[in-house]
Amino acid sequence: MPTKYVLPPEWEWPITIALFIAGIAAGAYAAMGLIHFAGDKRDQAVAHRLGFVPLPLMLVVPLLLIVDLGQPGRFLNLLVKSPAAVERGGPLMFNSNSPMNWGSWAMVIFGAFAAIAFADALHHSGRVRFTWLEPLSHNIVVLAIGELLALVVSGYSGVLLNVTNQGVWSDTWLMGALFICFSELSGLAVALIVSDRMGTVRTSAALRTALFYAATVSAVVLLLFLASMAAQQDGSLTALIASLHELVGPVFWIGAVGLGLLVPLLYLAPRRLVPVPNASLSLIGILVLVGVLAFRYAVFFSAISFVQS
Amino acid sequence: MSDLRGMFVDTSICTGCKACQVACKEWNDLPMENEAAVRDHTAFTGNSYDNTVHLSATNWRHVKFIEQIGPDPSTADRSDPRWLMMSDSCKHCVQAGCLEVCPTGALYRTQFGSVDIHQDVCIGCRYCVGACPFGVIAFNQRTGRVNKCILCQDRLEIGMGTACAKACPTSSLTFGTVGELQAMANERVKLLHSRGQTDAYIYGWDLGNSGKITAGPNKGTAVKDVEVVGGLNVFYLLLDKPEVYGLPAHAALPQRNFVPSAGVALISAAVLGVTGLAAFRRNRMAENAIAEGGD
Amino acid sequence: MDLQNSDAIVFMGSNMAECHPCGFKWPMKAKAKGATLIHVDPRFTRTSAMCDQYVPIRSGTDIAFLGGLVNYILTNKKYFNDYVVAFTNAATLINANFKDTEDNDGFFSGYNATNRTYDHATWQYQTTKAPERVPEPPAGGAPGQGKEGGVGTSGPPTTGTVKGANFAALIANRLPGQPLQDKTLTDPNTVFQILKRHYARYTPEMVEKICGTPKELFIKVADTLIANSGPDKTSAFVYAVGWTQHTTGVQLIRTAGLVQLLLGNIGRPGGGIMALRGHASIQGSTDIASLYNIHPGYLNVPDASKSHDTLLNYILTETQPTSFWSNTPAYVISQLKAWFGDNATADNDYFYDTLPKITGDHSHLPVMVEMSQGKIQGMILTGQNPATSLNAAFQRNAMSKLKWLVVLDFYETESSVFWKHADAKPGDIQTEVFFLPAAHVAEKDGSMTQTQRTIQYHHKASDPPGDARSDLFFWHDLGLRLKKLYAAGRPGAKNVEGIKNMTLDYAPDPAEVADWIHKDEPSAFKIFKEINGFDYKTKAPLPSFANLLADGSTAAGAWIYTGMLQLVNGQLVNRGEMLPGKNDGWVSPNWGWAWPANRHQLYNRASADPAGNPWSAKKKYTYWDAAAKTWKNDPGDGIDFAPTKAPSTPANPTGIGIAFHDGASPFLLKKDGKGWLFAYEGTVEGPIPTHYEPWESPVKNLLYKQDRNPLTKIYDVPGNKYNEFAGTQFPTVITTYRVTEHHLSGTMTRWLPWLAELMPDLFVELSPELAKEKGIANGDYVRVTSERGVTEARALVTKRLRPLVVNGQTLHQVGMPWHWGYQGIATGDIANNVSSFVADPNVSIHEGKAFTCQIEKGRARA
Ligand SMILES: Nc1nc2c(c(=O)[nH]1)N[C@H]1C(S)=C(S)[C@@H](COP(=O)(O)OP(=O)(O)OC[C@H]3O[C@@H](n4cnc5c(=O)[nH]c(N)nc54)[C@H](O)[C@@H]3O)O[C@H]1N2
Ligand SMILES: Nc1nc2c(c(=O)[nH]1)N[C@H]1C(S)=C(S)[C@@H](COP(=O)(O)OP(=O)(O)OC[C@H]3O[C@@H](n4cnc5c(=O)[nH]c(N)nc54)[C@H](O)[C@@H]3O)O[C@H]1N2
Ligand code: SF4
Ligand code: SF4
Ligand code: SF4
Ligand code: SF4
Ligand code: SF4
Ligand SMILES: [Mo]
Repeated sequence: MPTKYVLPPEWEWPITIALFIAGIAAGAYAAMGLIHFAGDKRDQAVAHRLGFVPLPLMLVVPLLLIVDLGQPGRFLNLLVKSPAAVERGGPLMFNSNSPMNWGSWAMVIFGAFAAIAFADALHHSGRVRFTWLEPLSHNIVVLAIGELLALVVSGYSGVLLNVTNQGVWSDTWLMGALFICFSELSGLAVALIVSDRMGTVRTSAALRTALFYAATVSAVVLLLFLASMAAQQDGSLTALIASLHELVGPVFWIGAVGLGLLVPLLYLAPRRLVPVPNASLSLIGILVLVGVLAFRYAVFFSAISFVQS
Repeated sequence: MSDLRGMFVDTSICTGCKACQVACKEWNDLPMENEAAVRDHTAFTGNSYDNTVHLSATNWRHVKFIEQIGPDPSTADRSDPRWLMMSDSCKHCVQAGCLEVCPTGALYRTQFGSVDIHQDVCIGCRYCVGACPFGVIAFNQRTGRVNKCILCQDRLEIGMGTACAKACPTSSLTFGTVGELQAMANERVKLLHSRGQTDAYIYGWDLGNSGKITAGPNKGTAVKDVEVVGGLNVFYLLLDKPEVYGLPAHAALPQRNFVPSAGVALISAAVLGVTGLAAFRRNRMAENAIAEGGD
Repeated sequence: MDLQNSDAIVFMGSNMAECHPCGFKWPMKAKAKGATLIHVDPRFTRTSAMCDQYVPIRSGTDIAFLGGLVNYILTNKKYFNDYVVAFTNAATLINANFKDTEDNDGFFSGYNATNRTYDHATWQYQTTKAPERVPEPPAGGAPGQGKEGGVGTSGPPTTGTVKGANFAALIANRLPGQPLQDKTLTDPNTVFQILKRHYARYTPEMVEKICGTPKELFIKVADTLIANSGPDKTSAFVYAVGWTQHTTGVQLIRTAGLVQLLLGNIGRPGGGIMALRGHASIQGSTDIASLYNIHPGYLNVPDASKSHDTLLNYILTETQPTSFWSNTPAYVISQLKAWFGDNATADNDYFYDTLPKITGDHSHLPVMVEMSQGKIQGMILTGQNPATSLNAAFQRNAMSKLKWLVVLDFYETESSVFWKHADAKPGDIQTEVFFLPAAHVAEKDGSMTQTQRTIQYHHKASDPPGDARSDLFFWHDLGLRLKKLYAAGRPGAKNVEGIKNMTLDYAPDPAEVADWIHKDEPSAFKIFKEINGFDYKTKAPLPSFANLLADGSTAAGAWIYTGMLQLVNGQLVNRGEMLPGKNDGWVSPNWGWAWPANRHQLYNRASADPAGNPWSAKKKYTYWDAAAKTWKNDPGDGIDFAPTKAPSTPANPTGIGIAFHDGASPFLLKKDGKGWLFAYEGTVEGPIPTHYEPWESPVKNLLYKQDRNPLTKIYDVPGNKYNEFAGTQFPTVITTYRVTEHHLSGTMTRWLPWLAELMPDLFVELSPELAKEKGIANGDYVRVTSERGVTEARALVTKRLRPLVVNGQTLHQVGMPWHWGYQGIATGDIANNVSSFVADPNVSIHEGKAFTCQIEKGRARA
């Protein structure tokens, strides 16, 4: 017996892709930061190469999000208060109650940090030289802030889904966590691929472990999510099952859970349990990315509504 | 408070004539929901006398029909037959989910306490759609914006009441100040109870009434006033459980999840950070171990 | 409006909440005050949903149900004795040779089987000897003197002459004797005793057997009515076409009259029988003669089969010496004067001879039958859409036999394109169709008379679009053209004088049309003034029908409307405009104007006891103020009685009009001033309502050998084959009706997007039990068939319909709204494909409410 009587927001492909990409961007930035913090000199090459990733992606993401708006021409209303919104003070648009508003700002600012990272990467690639950039790009505070923004970018959309009245989405507090996990996964996956391609075995090894841990954490969060559904008596689990209709079900279980989590987990496990003949780490990375995409798809296409008729 | 405007929907005297639904479409000049369906004979639902099914961007008001001919729809028993009717619309929640989540300020609280939409601010992100606990506000494919009942803001501004209430022949819909309406609603419930119709109660405000359902599948179930999302400026007198009318028994603000969700997210991020660092430390230590161990 | 004063209301044959949604607020008011609402209907409808009791019934068996009530009231001695004895004809003695249906296999005495008619001789009252007749010289010199005619409200003496004859004296010379009565109600020949015998077998058990209404529910209704009637309580019945559309329609409504008279619920606040009328101003169009057999104000149209050859004979035939109708001459002559103007004088009988006379039943069905036989050349169709009405295929086929057809309407109705129907062969149809766009009610001046007889004049809200014109323009223009033609003189033309002298002087004053696009639209207000009536010399409007005279000095289009125009601070207005919404008590005499003489509650003298005192403080209405020697009504309603005629006034055997009645005879339109429990005239198939089965019924009559109304008007013509009576091929009872969302044939709603989407398609309502039997699922397409044809509809399976146990056997009923057709936005098949032409003998109303059908799953057309 569904207990929600809501309409679906009809967020589908553009959003799925956009948030997948944003997740990678933020995740990659996080991985980059991780290497900066935790890695030593010999790991930095990978970090520097990763610097190239966020910016281009962060240029695509807003485009996709804007495309998805019913009134794309008005996207600025998210940041600059429209003169028509007379009730609100100030020139800028802030609504602390709206995760979407948080997210919009986070993306814009994060864009700047992605740019810095990009420039830094260029610099280190030796093609262009921004010596003046060093103190900024390697500044621990700057990096920290960048990390924080990356965190918001990767997590806000999850929190946003929690902050609705949709079946499933709003029945838990774990959407934000799930989104962060999965974008971290995609980030590390990209890092692993990059590192693997560069042949920096040491770094790859560390990243591989990191990915294993992240996958473990993600798996745990996912279990908690399912548990939290089952925990509620007002039909959330029924709702969840109902939500995994048609394609969404297989995509979620096989794609997200299977390819995205289980296979990597088993492969990356200390004593690896999947007999993939010395699969290149890149392959694993790609599997993870596919899984994350599957996860995004499942989430958005599972939007269900119980408008009683 | 006194200038809060709203409507009291007394479903016990609703004859299901749909005059309100039509008056709304007329005043707001709303098109047919799906002319093609009507023309090619796919619009008939067979769902009692309801062929428009739910609120939408083109139906800001919708009349529901619930047939309760006997205690169990699947048996021939037709004792205590009831045909419940209810005219539904935006509730103009005191705490409006739609308004809270709107990232652009398109949704705003009017001087009458109602929730209106600046059509020329709305970017059509549909966040409000997923946020309304009642499935009221809806995306309009034609305009790329959202629509819903706006409590006839234009009429209210020139001192008129709402078009739907004006059209209602039985005064099942009454427009007024929320205070007056609450008093009226309370009296009405008391009167019905005194006549043995103990199922009457208020949905939207807790005025302290409680009773028992006297007919239909839920006969015998206890019911009492429910206040949701801090109160509804457009509220109802119901004769059966809210769910029977397609109303959530516990509607809530989406924001209830904001802080917890963000908190949990931060924790998960922290955990991931730590595991990341741990991963690197572990590898380094392993390396060193090897380095020390031999040559 | 008065329904708000009822203690109990029975909706029977009406779906008021759906069909009169706004008026329904009054019963809802009563309910809020604690009244009990009851709905007796084959279906559980939106009205039932608002009622305290829902009572199922088989379509077409209401007389059995109501007769059951009469029997229940009589056998349990629950009638309102004082009221019944004083105000009804219960005590009156009937001719000893009268034979009842009980003793005559379902026939009354006087039946003539060959021409299926009744001789009413044995139905008459026993009376005292009539006053001495003065020998009458052949037309010309008059015997005696013109006696006082109407007393009080009944206007001035009906003295006057036509072609030299003083008819007043002749009327006086036709006074009958006074009816004989037995106030103890014990004489076997009293109406009371006859009634008792007639309904003795209409027991609750019999009601259950015939109507399928569970006995307990029936008894609950009876007890509720009884408990809510009497000196300080009143109950009302509300009906509409659920009662009229039957071959027993008129008698059906009379049965309710019997119940209400016995319970003392007529002429009292909160009582009565509320007839809910149809089209917005259908009341007005009955008052102002949309019927073939009555002229405005309910004056009979001259009839070739009656003694109507001269105006004198018309007057002598139509004038009732002992009722309010004694004033007929004043009304007739004023009407002729209004129609024919200056040249209309006593010497030329006011052009009476130029009026066409009817030669039989010219109502809709017989006319369409003649049309189908090619006997009719052309038709002007205005305000009607017969292509989707009863036996729709038959009517469309009939129209295809026309040479020409003129349609005035807003949209291209089914009738205007009858040849577009799927089954039609346009190639074979020769009819030339002229479509004239009509102005909508809001686009023209005019008046409306609603179901409470309240008249309101209204001005148009806007000019009609394009070249759409008012109907008024069309008819006025047509009249003028005819006059021109006749003035020119046409060889062999009939009625030349009549047409030449028609007063068509409705050209608008410039001021009236100043801001209209069409300056030649006739003045509706001038017609309104003519209907109201005026002093012929001064042209001053008359304030009351009491001012109408029979000497040609006054003119009035319809006497009942005289007074609707009032002089208010120097301005001549209809009261509707005068004080709109002014709150002047619940009767609101200042809002609108109710004919006659702004009397809202008819026969309201009955709200006081014989002595003139209110029956109770609670139900005080019209009462006699002994001190002031006059009748009073505090809420301000008009007194429907002689204002100063004391309750104690004795009957006057030589009094003309209501002077003939005593002071305790409220029913002044009746010859004896009493409420008729027994109608010795007026209803052709008998003086007391009797249960007959519908023309098409799956079951036989359980009460009499005679199954159906013996006088039923049947049309045994090709295309109108009837389903076998009590046969097996069409075992299901079907009824047809309306839904709130649509209006009639749908022209005014199926074209409107907002309404079209609310009810997009034709559907048939059936019970889950029947659906199961037939393997029909909700939403399926089903075929409904009869001998006339097939209708395709969507199944709406609902427990709101239920199988009934009739005479021990399960019987299914289905129902279809009939609003759809093949034109407009929301189209659907035509329910009337399956209905037939068969009618009530009194008023020729069809039987759209009860016939039989077969229902199966599947599409009708491939
Ligand atoms: N919305 C709307 N309102 C209308 C109209 C419209 O088309 N649409 N039409 C107007 C016109 S012209 C008219 S005449 C009136 C008619 O007003 P109503 O007479 O109220 O309309 P119907 O729906 O034809 O019939 C009323 C009820 O009679 C029931 N019935 C059928 N057969 C029987 C029977 O044998 N006995 C009893 N007791 N009940 C029976 C039907 O189930 C139905 O519920 O409505 C007027 N008002
Ligand atoms: N089976 C079945 N059949 C029924 C009934 C039923 O209950 N069952 N009900 C019967 C009853 S009660 C009625 S009243 C009839 C109604 O039957 P109709 O009168 O034939 O049907 P309407 O749709 O009312 O047709 C009125 C037409 O007049 C047009 N019109 C409206 N206003 C104006 C105007 O000002 N000027 C002009 N020129 N045209 C105008 C409308 O557009 C419409 O096309 O149907 C009868 N038929
Ligand atoms: S009902 Fe929904 S749309 Fe209306 S105010 Fe409340 S939350 Fe907003
Ligand atoms: S769709 Fe419009 S109203 Fe709704 S949240 Fe987005 S901007 Fe605000
Ligand atoms: S208040 Fe106005 S906008 Fe809202 S439903 Fe009623 S008519 Fe429509
Ligand atoms: S207008 Fe009034 S009675 Fe009619 S459906 Fe709407 S609320 Fe109910
Ligand atoms: S005619 Fe119009 S106003 Fe009158 S009752 Fe019907 S719907 Fe209401
Ligand atoms: Mo009608």
